[in-house]
This record gives sequence, C-alpha cells and structure tokens, in this order.
Amino acid sequence: MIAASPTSGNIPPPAHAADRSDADDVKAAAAGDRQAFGRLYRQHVDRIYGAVYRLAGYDHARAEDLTQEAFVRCWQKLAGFRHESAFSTWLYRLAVNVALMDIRSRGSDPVHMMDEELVPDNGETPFCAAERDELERAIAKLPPRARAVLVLHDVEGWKHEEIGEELGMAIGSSKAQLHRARGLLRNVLGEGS
Amino acid sequence: MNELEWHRQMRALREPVAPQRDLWTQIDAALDAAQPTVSAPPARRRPQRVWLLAASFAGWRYLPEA
Repeated sequence: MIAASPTSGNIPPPAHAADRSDADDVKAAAAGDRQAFGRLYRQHVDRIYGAVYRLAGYDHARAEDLTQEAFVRCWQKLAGFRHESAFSTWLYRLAVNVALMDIRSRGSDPVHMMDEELVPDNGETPFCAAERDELERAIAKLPPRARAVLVLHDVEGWKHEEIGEELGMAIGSSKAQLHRARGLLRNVLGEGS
Repeated sequence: MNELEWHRQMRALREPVAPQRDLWTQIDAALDAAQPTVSAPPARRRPQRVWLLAASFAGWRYLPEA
C-alpha cells in the first residue's frame, strides 16, 4: 500500500541531514520561511500520512485532506512550538489530533451503536493472525471510533490514558472500545484464521 | 495466537506511507490564507525611562532640600 510520491517542480528539494537539521528549518519556518517549511514537509510527510491514513480507515482521499489540514495547522502554530519535545513528535501529535477531531466531528459510532453480537465474550481471546493486507482491510471496516482506539493502542502504541484524553472518553471506555474493536476485527477476519 | 504475537503483528503496520499524489502544491497554496500566528516579541523597555527613573531617584536622595 506504499505509494511512490511524485515530484513536482515547485517542491523544495529534500533536506540533507548533514546540511540542515529540523531545528534550523523549524526556526526559519516559524519566522515565515516557506522554503524551510517545505523541507519540513518533505522530511515528515510520509510518517504523518501513514498515521492519518490508518486512522482514516486506509482511505487515501480522507488521509490526503487530513494531512493537508495537519500541515496547515502546523504552519499556523509553529511560532508556539516550544521545543519541549522533538518537532517530529509535536507534528505527529498535531496530525493525530486533526484526524481524531475529524472522527469526533462526525459523531460516529459510540459504543452502543456497535453490534454487540459480533463481539466475543470477555473470556474469549480476540487475537488472531492475518496477512498484512487482510488485516488492513479488516481494520478499515471497523467503525471509526473503535478503529481509532485500536490503531492508537495496538498499532501506534498509545496508552489508554492518552487515548481517553484525545478522544474525550474515560479510560474504561477506551479499554472497552479496544476489546470490542479486537472482537470485531476477529469476526471480520474469520474464526478460522 | 497469543497477545505478544498479536502486538508484533499490529505494530508491524506502523510504517510511513507516501501519499499517492503530491500534496505540497495545495498545502503551499493554503498557507497564503493561513498566516502563521507569530507572536510579537515582548516590547523592550525604553532605556530613557530607566535613566529618568534613576535620575529622579538620585535627585530625591542626594539633592539638598530646597
């Protein structure tokens, strides 16, 4: 699912690690240097796109919109970046936040809207093996909020406390969503896998 | 499959993905309408004011009373 990025004449050249660091470009971009911001974009777009692409259910069109919005917000907020974390971490959190706000704004799939009959009992292990493509297709079929919790916890490695904070839900709700998401995933993948 | 294998399988999905098309042109265009919220540097105190304060203090402290 990894696509090659086309090149264009007006895209700034990729940064050479030895020549420029993020810190230089962040400083310049915060002062309004569009070329420096372009270099930051080139440096980080694949990681950002990957995260929002997964959260958007492997939907390229939505992932493109969310990525654009994330970079525009980054540009607007860059002057407020305090260097308390790495720029890549700050940008990643900002982009995930944009994707989660999109999910929240749609107000979709609170827990009660999910089909409880599809979810295995608490005692049943929801873990199952699958091929990568099969797994991605199954994740894409999950309801958006359940998918967000599954992707953030199981793929991105977030803690329930962080997920609850970002999605505006209790830690217990995050755990319940994860259990349901895993159960639904197992159901989609099939018992035999 | 146990939980450890599950996590290994899921974490393997965490990879960078290149967009299918170039997004920079649209982002670059959108930046024109989204100027950065650059906070103005804090205004420096005028040095003249410091000297005025010092001079008035010195006058009050050291000059004989009229």
